[in-house]
Amino acid sequence: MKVLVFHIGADRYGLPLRQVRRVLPSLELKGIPLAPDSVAGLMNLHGTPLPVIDLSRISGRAPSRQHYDTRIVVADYIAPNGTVHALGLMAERVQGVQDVAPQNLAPSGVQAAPFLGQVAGDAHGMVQLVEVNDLLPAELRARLFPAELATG
Amino acid sequence: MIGGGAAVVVLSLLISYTLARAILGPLAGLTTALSRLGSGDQAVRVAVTSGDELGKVSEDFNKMAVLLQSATQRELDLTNELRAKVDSLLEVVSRAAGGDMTGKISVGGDDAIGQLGDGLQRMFDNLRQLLTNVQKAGIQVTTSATEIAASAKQQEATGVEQAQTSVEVLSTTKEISSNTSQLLKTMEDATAVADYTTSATSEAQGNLRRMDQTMQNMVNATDSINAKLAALSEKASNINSVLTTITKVADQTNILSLNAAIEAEKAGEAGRGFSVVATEIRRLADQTSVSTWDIEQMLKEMQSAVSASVMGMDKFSEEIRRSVGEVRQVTDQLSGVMDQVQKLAPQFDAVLQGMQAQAVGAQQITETMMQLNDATQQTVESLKATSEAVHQLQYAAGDLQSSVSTFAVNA
Repeated sequence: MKVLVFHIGADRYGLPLRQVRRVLPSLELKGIPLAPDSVAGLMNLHGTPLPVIDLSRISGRAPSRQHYDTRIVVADYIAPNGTVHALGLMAERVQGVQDVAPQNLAPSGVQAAPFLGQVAGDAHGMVQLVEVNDLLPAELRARLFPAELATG
Repeated sequence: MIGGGAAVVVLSLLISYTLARAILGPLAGLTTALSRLGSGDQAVRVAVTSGDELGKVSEDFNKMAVLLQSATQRELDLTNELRAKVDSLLEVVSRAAGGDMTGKISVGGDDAIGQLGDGLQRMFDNLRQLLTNVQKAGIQVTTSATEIAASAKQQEATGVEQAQTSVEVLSTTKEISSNTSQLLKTMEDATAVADYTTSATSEAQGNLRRMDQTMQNMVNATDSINAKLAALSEKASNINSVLTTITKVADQTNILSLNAAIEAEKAGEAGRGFSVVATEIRRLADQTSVSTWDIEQMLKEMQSAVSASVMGMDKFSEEIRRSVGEVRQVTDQLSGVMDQVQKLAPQFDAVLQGMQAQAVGAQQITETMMQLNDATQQTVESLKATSEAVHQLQYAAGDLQSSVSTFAVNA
């Protein structure tokens, strides 16, 4: 499977490419007062407002630094009820697409953040998969997608 | 018997006696008178007791005695008169000898005594006149001598005072002379210092001019460096803008390649070849990005170095300009100082000449004062001698006066 490799801190993580819609440069985000810390702001995707989650922040780290390779990845978030939402993910040092052989994937064996999945080793170290659908805790999901709450 | 004998004897004696008396008596009287006459008693007279020869003798004797007595009396009178005249003269002369010249010669006449008296009278008159004159002259001499003595004393005192004053003046003049000498030395030193200052200032001015020139050169060099740095900075900015463009392009290429890879992945087998191309593009874009980043970093470093240099050069340039200004100011001030000092030198010379003249003058004054002092000392000596002489004169005049005063010239 192919993953989009990015970094949280010094470690490499991979977003499954099938859930990535596109990669965008780091845009000017609109701030959202009183929003949770992990919400970097609101972006405008062709006229549609899109909440952006800071992957560094949601992992309990300092906010992402604005490097040239800090990107906003527009991913498909599939809510538990099956609804697909576009969700902006701010990621540091987005390196590119890497192919991870399914046989190399192994469970991490450590119960940590709920969105962290299997790990795969390669020549440069280990890449841990990030499950987009598990990124948002229920409360945050409710805040970001209140319509779903109303419907669900 | 004895009585009878005795009576006879007495009777005989009586007769003898009566006889003797009758003859011997007048003879004896005559003899006595003669004897008395012979011894000078011209008043002696013999009593004429009889008219006999004896009586005649007695009468003649008496006549002779009267003649003798009258002649003697006349002679005595003449002698007495002469003696009186001589006594009178002698008295006057004696008084004159005792100093009393008031005596008058009352003796006159044509005889020798009278002529002597007249001569003495004239002599006394002349002597009196002379003595009077001498007395007057003596008084005058004494008075004058006293005045002269007082005057001499005063003069002596004045002379002594003058001598003291001249000694004081002399010491003062000597002091002035030595002070002037010292002052002269100081002035010579000051002149030397002024000359040295002039030459030193001139040298300093030359040095400052050279420094000014050097600084001007430095300013020019700095300006040139600044211009070059500015050009460099501008070029770096240009490069930077180009780099920014490249970076943007690389970034967009990167994103494009990422999205292409995503699209290729979504296309499945159909996008396999495209995926390879996208990966290659992405790799190139990444390399470009990294290189651009490096260049950008280098450029930034260069730019910051350049701007630091520019700032440093600006500061340096400013400092140099300030230094140039200060140096010029110092040069101007030094020029002023030198002008003043150069003006000072002739003034010092004038003062020096004046002081030299003063020193010479003071020396001359000292010499003159020493001469004056000697003269004053001599004057004082002379005055002392004069005073002594006047004292002697006073004594002499006093003696003269006292000598003359023993002569009484007024009755």
